[in-house]
Amino acid sequence: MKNQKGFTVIELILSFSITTIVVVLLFQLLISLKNLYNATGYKTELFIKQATITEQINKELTSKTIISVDDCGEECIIFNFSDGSNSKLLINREENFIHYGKSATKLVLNSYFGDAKVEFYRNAANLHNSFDSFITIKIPIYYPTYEDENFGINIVYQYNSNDHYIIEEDF
Amino acid sequence: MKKRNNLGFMLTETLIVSTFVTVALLYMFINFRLIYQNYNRTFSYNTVNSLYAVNQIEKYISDTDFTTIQTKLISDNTQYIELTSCPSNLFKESNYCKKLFEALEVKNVYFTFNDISNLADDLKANPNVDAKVIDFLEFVSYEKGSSGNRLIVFFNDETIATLKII
Repeated sequence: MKNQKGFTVIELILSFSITTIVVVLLFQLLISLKNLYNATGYKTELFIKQATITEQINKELTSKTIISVDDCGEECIIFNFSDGSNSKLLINREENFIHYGKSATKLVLNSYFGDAKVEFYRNAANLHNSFDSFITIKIPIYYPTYEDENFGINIVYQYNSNDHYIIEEDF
Repeated sequence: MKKRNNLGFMLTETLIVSTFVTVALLYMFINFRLIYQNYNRTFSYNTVNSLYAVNQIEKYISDTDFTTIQTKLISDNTQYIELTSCPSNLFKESNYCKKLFEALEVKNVYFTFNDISNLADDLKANPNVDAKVIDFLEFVSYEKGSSGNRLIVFFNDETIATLKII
């Protein structure tokens, strides 16, 4: 006689349902981990580029004294330093390059520039002979997957206008 | 002897299996949460841009108001002073300070001691301090008992950085 013991339909349905839920959860976890892994890769690359560009510009701005800033065309400025040297900061949107001085950095594939801004702030009176002015250089860089995050540069150069007065053009 | 009904699962079997499944899922969830937390920390704690920004604030404070702020921190017998609003009793050029913080996209600036071992409790007592700032303290390396001061800056883009004031 055939063995009549075994799973009932309800048992099977129940176990299949539980297994399905567990498998779906596991897959979601796996997909999330895969996305996280990819995101880490892209973000690392974007941050490396950001660090490279920021380092290049800041290295020079912290070690030298700017005496004037000139406009050299669309999205191009020249910093003239007190030692007679100068460095050009240029954005090339077509080729996705950012040039500073003698170096050029290509952006990560698919990333793009936002609206670049160079702004000058000068306090009306410098009564305490301290920092009273600064130049802000903002070049946003975006990546399609993380459009709300800015991987660009935000550099501030402070100076005391009593020590040296930076001549700037209109930007 | 009464024959046992073999249909269906026993309650014990069901409970054991459910417990195993729950434990396994909880374990995976906790681990995944840790990975995700660390991922967020990697990209928001002491980033290049935020460190350069803190450096600019440090340069400004060291240039003008460092002694005033340091004296206030000691006289108030507190672990930190919030400089976000550039109070005029601490900054000679409050307007310049505000403009600088605005340009650097700063959300909160805290001036504290280099040894931050007692800072977390004080910050937790202030409901206006973001939880991220408190979490960040665990990852700051400092020498216990060391002298000097430190700046902790929280930015609008949720990044956070700290520098010791030399």
